[in-house]
Amino acid sequence: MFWRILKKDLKRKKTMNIILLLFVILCSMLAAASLNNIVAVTGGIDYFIKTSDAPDVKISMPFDQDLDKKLIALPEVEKVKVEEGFYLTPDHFKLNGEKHKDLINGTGFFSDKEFGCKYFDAEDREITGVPEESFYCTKNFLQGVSLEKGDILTVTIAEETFSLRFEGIFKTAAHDTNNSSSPLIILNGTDWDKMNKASESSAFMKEKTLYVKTNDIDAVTKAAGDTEGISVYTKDHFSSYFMYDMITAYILLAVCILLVIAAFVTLRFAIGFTISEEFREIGVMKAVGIQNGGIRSIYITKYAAIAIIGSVIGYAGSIPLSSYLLKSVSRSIVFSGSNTMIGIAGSAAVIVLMLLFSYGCTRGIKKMSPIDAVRSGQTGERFGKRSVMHLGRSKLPATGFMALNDVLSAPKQFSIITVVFTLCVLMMTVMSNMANTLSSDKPIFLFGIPVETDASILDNEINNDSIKQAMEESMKTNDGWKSLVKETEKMLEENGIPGKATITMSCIYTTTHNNNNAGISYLVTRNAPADGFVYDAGSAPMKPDEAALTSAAMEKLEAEIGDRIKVNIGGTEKEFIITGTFSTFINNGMAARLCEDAELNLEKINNNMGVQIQFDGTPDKKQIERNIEKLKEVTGGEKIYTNAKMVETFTEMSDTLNSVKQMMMLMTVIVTALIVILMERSFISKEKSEIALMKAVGFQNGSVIGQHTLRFVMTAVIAVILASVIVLPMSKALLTFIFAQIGSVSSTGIAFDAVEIFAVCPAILIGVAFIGTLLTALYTKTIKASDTASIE
Amino acid sequence: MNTVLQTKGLCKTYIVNKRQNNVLKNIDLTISEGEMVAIMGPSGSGKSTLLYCVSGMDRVTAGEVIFNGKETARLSDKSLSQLRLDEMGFIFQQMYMMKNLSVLDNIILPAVKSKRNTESRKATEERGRQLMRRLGIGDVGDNDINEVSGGQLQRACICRSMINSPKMIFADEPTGALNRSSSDEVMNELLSLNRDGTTIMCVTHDPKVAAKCSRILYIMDGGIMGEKEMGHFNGGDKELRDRERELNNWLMEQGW
Repeated sequence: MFWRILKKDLKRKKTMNIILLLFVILCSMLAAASLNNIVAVTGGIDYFIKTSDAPDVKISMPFDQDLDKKLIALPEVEKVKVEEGFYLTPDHFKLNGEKHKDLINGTGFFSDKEFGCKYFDAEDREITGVPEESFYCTKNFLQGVSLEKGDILTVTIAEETFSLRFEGIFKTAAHDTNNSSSPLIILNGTDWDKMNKASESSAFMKEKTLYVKTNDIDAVTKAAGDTEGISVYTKDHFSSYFMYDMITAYILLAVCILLVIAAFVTLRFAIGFTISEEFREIGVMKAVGIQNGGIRSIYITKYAAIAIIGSVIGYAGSIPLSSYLLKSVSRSIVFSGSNTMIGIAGSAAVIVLMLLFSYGCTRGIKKMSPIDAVRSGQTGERFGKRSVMHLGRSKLPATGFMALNDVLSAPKQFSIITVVFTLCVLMMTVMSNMANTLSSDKPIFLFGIPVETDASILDNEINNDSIKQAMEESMKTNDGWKSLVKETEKMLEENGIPGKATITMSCIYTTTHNNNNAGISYLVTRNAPADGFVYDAGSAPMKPDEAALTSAAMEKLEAEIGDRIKVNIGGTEKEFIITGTFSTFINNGMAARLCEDAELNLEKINNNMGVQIQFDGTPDKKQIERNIEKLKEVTGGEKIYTNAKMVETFTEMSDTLNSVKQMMMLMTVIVTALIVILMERSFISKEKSEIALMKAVGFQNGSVIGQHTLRFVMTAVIAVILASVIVLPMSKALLTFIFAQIGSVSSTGIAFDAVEIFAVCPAILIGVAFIGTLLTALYTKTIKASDTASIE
Repeated sequence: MNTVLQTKGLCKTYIVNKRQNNVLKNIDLTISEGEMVAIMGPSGSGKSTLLYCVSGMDRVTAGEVIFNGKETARLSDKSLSQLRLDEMGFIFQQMYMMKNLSVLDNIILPAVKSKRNTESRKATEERGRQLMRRLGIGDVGDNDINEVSGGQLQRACICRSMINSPKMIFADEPTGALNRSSSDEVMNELLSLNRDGTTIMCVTHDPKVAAKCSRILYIMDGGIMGEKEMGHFNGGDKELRDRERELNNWLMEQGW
């Protein structure tokens, strides 16, 4: 009997059950894919570092240093691998005969004779050797270009030319492969030897990289500390290389959470609604003597069946979705493969939630009595009026009045729909804001350069000898920047685009406070007073012994504003007073700002943001672009960027976010349509008698359909208004939270496309609500006036 | 007297599980202006089906239905809706009302919807209140439909059916869900409307209700088996008892 009742119910309410099933599939797919994505990325970084056999300490040093011999002798050191490399500037390269215009930094060439750690190709296979006359490169070598296997890289060194075939990209856990860092190329040992010999006079840098395995990192750091010109990196640094990949993952997670919430709220509503409409069936079952538990178990079984089937299908669908999501980060990272258990956990969570919903919703069965079957669900008791408006006093036409009155008479019901619609709009608009912000100049302050900057020159290859020479000088002495600023401003003046030049650079030093220490990146911007930057608390460091720190750095050092920190700069221990806090991405948020005249150990510069230009006057966007074109013409350089282009280039997220945005918009449309169909069908089912009555007294099909459609359109409009109010503060809060995961950020500005978030996205929601309801409401045509005779 | 409703060879067939069910077979009837006609018959005889077919709420399978000179079988759904709105009134057994509207708003809704009604909303509302006062429910206009008794609600349905001054009122078991005293009240109201000239067609299985009507049509197995002229009911308990006795006897002859 139990199964017969269940089978009849599933058959009788086929459409509703199918829509519920679709919802469960969607929830399960999203939950499994998003969870998988985040766990894969966060856990995957550790996995990648482990799989790569990454060193405990990596040390980059000049070629002529012999620190490796010293370290091998240490009892704490297990093993030291050495990679030798030389760096060439981009003007030495041609790709398929074309100059590589978009490459910012010099490229390092290393041999396959000894790899410091494991490297992997694009298919995650370990590279054990490189064929002769071939090369692998890191992904940042491919900035602005697209190479196929077999394409030719021509390297000209002095009088010699070398042709190398492209084998593919390689992935490394121990090097930063973002666009802001130097790309790496690995060659066959024989080719490397030839090129190394030819580059004796051409290479701008030769270095050794030591890969140290040790059980005492401090001992190694201490031993290396005395050597000139070295940079020391630990596994914490390696994790920070993937920070921009994490931004994408977190953004995706935020939007997926919104989607899942919308889907779950709708599910809860649908389950509660459908059970409340079963009063007659429940009343009859009670009248014939079926116990509450038995009745509840019928419905719980039905929802459990839908949940299990939906979750299984959803899990299957989450696998390609998860792959697609992971694709955006897998160019950099080797993952362990799809995380089956996590995906299953996500889908299982949906089953559990749905069972909880149905258990909670069926509690009301206890209160229903057999009399409910007779009285059509009415107990005779009412608390509060239902009708809110007065037809006689309203100026609205009948259809509009009925629609508005329905919405106001069932505030709880329509509030839930409003909340769901609001979430749907927010999914689209928040995603849009994030994509726009990360291709705008809003986050530029997080890269340490002045926000007033109009253009940044990142090109070292400038056909202005004075500036080139000044650039070299600026890397030799702490006063060298003055001549670079002077020459640059002179060049600007001479070419009719006068402006102010600044230079931003940073070095990582070990910093101590009490017994705490941390590797902190010290930022200096020359020719820009420190009080021109934004500080979250306290004040700017204006004196040579003052520093502003990020909150993350202060937390690590357990320091506060007013405390003193100690730093070893170029062999001299210096003390700084902490004057304030600021936000930045640099060095994963472990950074400090010094005054504009502060002295740095220039041999240890690990981050050079080039020359920033602030044009005189207040040029608009178009003028700035014209000025930049002029600059390119004058200097012969290509890598002169606006702030927005800088953000886009360094984060490499613009394209990914835009395609994710489009995907999210599509998902939102699908979710909204499903919600509308589910709810409208529920309403039609509930209001069958009223629809039949309206037709009996003379309402046409069009009026009924119009009333139903208007209700949802009104709700959609309210949702759009609500979303418009909260989208900007919500986007700001979310983005700040996401940035704070990868840097030390207390707040950020938002760039938004007003047309997209206040017109296009709302129009999409209202349009989908309108069309979805209209098409679903056509079902009311099947309800005839004569159905008043057969309605219960 | 003018003919308000006429049917010729009216047939209605339903197909259920590929089986043909001839509910109405060649029904010919005529209802003149000012009549109050009761349709009686056993359960499943096709009483309500006849009412829905002649009122345009359901389509006939064959035959003609002429209402106020218009052949309804040829009318589109839109025109039929218009006809029902402007020229017909309906009273149902279950007292269907719109849950989100007050009693008064339910009553005036057809008037607001009708394009023929050119008066202001306020005037329409006042007319609705007048109707309610006439039917003795003047003080429940602003109540929700759940706040009034069954009898009051059915009188509100009568008001709704009258708001557009219809040519004819169709009542399907108007007292079916009411107790005896409410039934009497509702029937008295219908009689009062009929005396004022409203034509009424009433489906009922209750001889007490039918005895107040001027003509009775007896339906069985989809056809009209008998017709009895009762004449106008003037009121009074004795007259009612006599009419009931006469009707019962006649019904027994018909096979009731």
